[in-house]
Amino acid sequence: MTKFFQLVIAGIEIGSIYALVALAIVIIYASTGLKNLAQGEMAMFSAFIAFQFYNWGLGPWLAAILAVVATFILGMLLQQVVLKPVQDSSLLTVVIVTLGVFLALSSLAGFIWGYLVQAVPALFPDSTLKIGGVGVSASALGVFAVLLGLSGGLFLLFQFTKIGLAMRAVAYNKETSTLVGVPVNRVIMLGFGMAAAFGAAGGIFAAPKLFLDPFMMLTVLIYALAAAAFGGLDSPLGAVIAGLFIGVIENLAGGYIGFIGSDLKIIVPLVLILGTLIFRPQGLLGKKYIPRV
Amino acid sequence: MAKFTVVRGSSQYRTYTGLGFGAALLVLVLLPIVTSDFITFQFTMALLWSMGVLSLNMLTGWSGQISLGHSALFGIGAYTTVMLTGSYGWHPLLTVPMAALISFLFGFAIGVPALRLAGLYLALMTLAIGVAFVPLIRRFKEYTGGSMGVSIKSKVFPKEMWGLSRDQYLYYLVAIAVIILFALARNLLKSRVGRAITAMRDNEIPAQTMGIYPARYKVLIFATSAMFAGIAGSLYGFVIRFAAPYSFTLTLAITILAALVVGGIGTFAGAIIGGIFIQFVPYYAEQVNQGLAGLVFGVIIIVIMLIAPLGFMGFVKKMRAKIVNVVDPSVVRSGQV
Repeated sequence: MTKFFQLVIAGIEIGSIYALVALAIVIIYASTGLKNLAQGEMAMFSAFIAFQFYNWGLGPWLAAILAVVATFILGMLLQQVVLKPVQDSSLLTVVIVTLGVFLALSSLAGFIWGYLVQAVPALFPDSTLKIGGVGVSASALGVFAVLLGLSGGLFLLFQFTKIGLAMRAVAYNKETSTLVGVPVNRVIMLGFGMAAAFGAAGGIFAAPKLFLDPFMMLTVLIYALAAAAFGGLDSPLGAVIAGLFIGVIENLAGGYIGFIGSDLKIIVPLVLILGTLIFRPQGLLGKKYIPRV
Repeated sequence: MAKFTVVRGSSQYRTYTGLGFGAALLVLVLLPIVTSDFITFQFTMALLWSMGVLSLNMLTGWSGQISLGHSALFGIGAYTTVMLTGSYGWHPLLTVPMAALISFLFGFAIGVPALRLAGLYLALMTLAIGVAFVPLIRRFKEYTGGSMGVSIKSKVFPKEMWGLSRDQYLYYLVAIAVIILFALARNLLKSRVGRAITAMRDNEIPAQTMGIYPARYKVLIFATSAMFAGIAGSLYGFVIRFAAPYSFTLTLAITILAALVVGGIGTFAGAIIGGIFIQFVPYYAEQVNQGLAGLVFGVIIIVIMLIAPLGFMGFVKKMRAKIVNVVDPSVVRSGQV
């Protein structure tokens, strides 16, 4: 049983990272209908920014917070310059453009910081808490707490502030929001910045664990996309639950099914996407979409 | 500039397009004779990429779907050829139909579940496949050689054959395959099937009301596209005589997509332009920095999609429209010209 709980704890830690990136994807999807395939690479880039601040002599936490703020601004900039012109175009155009951002960011990171794997300072102390024989690392607790804090904050923002109301209105119907005086463009820009910041948090917490290189977030992106699809593309709560779920399932499958081991964990999100598509295309908590002519 | 009018399908129109094709064919045949082996090899690679771009183009250009798993399909073709030739002693030419079959079946298997929903989910699933390919190959290292890859002994392809050097005869082999594949793709896409696929792309529900059954055509075009990618990969295995997992990462899938965008989505000539682009742009960019090629590709994709979504061929058509005016016969009949 100890092994089981150990795997669950490890799953929650990595699952929190998936959930953060999945949240980023969902925030953007809900407000613009745009699925940002570059979300993982943006997060990776933020982790490099934090790494750069740290190398300039800032403390790890200060570096992380500054990187999140920088990413918030860069995210808004990216939306205004690159994605705004295509956000109402066909799906194909949007996918291609986000892939362009994907490739450009991953190469730019390689161009600036190189392709060697970098060790990044841990954000949490290297200690473990023993609960009934099961070791819970400080980083697992910390990352999970950050996820809860951020998603709780997001919930409060959505439900109880004027900005949140505007964001929900834009997600619901852009045209009507414009009519009632919501500055749609600025709301979307803000949403994009927020999503980038959530992703950045995911990337920065992932860096000490996965080690930092330009390809760090590639698999995380797949897991996060699977979480977003599984939880329902327009449901932030679904994204959080599904992210944690995938992290746990992936670890259990890797730990108990010998054939899967650590190499084939990537099969887990694939099967999950497939299962979602076949049995519940709108995802766990998503709204059903009915096509119209 | 004086503009003149040509009616599509007229004998005059045919003469011009025939001349164009003839000139392209002449360049294709003469290239290895007038240039060095090194340059011939580079163009062989460009032709290989063109086939890869064509395979994605069939899917993206004509049916409006997107795949990020084409790197894996390309890899499956390459591994089939290299493993069957290198490890099991097959004749290399026999491995091409095998690679075609395997990748077709694989495409079929991906296509069926992806039918459930449109574009976005297909992109998602194929993305996962593109990423999963490398760990899968590493996992079965007893057969695939793991990270080290597998190779074909060089005596399978002698240094000289039929009085041609290895680079030259491989070039002609690939060139013939390119001609066959492009002809097949053209005939398929200009037929009833092609029209059905395009109708579905433009609007699925009206297409259904006209008796087009989307599931059948979607799976068909995906599996065919996969088969083309597999054949391209198989010939890649021929030319490189080596297959390793890191040649078939997601970056390759995105690079093929980039080439498609640069050449022009939904055009045949664009696929060739795209292939040349993949071969030569990274070659020069990577001499500066490893990351530069990707950066250039990424920025080019974005810029082209923002300002000229039809790519290079869109530009060519615009230029052509300044000189000749190509009209459909129906326009002539209605007396508008």
